[in-house]
Amino acid sequence: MSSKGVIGFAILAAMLAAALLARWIAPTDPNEQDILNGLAAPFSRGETGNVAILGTDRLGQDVLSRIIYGARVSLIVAFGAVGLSAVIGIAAGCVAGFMGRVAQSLVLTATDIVLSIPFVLLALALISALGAGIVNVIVAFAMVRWAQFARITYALALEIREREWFQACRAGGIGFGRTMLVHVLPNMSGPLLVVASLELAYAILMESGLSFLGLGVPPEVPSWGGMLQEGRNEMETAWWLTTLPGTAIMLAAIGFNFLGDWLRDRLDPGLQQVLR
Amino acid sequence: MLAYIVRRLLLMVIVVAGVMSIIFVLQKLAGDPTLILLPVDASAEARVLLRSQLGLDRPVWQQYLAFLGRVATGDLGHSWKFNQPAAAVVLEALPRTLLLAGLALLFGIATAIPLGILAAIHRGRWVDTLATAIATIGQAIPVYWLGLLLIMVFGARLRWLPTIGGEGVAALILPTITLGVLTMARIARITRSSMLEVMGQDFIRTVRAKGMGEPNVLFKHGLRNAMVPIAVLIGLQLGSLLGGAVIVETVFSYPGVGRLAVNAVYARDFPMVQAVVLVVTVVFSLVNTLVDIICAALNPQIRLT
Repeated sequence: MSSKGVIGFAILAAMLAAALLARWIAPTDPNEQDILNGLAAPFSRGETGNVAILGTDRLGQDVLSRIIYGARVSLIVAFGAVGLSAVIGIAAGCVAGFMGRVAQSLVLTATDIVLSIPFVLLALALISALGAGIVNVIVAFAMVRWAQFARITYALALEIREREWFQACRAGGIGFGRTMLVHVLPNMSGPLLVVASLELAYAILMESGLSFLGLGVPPEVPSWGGMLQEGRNEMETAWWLTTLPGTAIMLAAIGFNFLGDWLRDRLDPGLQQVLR
Repeated sequence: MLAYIVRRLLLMVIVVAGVMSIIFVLQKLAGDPTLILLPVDASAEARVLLRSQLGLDRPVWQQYLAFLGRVATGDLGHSWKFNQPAAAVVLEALPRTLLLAGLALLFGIATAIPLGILAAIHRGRWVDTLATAIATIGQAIPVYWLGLLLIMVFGARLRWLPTIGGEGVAALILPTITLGVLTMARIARITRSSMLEVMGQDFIRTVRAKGMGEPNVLFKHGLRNAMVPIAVLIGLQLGSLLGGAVIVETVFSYPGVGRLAVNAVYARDFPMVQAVVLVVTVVFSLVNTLVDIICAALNPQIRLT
């Protein structure tokens, strides 16, 4: 395994562990306030004698605990958003690739439309219409990014359509749904996993960006973007409130990007072409 | 060529119409605007009156056509917060956003192409490692966080540059770098791989064997042939720059359309949000169409697909 693959897996494993085991490994409750011990620097000993390894924020909430719990939000939103876009996009891509010219031009025009709106702006419009919140962030992401999956799926479909095994399936009378699910999808899984991995990195960046603007996850839920938003006002006095959550976001994005790169390098050359 | 241009313009019209339809659906989802426009204790009669004044009591398809008609004549709605036509407010802020995005693109190109070339000719050496590290971090760093870090270091600690809401050229430096880093990372990456591919080809060996000097080999034959994928990628950057501007402008309190949109969301000023989305999308589609037509003029193969 390449070093990129190892690093990618290590970061993803650490995030998963933090998200799943947060209750056991976080030193304190992430929302437990201790005003007397507010803005404690990393490793400093507070009034009560507790050492906050990564410091505390203005309300005295433990930064390390909030970062550990923040992994939950990032992963839930990222997997939710990418999962939803993948389901919509792959279905649309298959329709475009296998169901004739009308379906093809309808789907491709739709992808042209959504991809020509800058994503952040469309997300803003959606959130201003529906309100902030985890579900709406997921919906906003899927509303735009399904097009990415649809385009790749369509490109793969064009190749698969010409393969003999596909024509054999059709000639052998296997139903359309079964052909898609049992035969076509497994043959597309490599490139689609690459796309999904890169989209996960993108989703993490977007969620934290929207939370940073105060338009994503509500403030009482610990999230990395929300922490940055709160730390912004203490930038000159409490550097750890700005630098640490940002580092977490960046590492998570690097992890998923590396995983995607590693998967792409492992694919066979024919499939790599499609991702260009 | 003419057929291609017509087809491309037609696609642009379809795209803009599609975006307008999406906005209209969102507008309907946003709920009853009289809840925001009128005070909480307004009478039911006043609400009914305002709804009919706004045309909200007509069938949805009539509202949709009326909306399309208004947008086509440049009426993007009335900003509730600014109490003036939303289009005027957006158009006033638009040049500043385009300036920021343009500067960021220039910054990205000017740093990334030399970096990518250096990395390619010194493959495996420290320059290459550095370029790869910059590209990796640049693609994963959250832009607003980078902005905060730059403010922290150059504004608050060193006090070299104005940070938030400044005026003049100096105030543009940090936002430009912040917005341009992602573009730089992407272009550097593709420049490196494209140069590596071209420099390994037979014709490069031929010109070298004929005794041509290395700078000429590199720029006249190498870079010129490597430029096609780089140019295509540069053309694709505008969308992410306009999107990124939304966040960067908010971090630096830069008075462009992005900050306008974010503040409009806070103020629940939906007409303003919709005006920003429409105007930015139209600008973006226009530029994309132009880029596509230029590419097609330069490369006849594209016209056939």
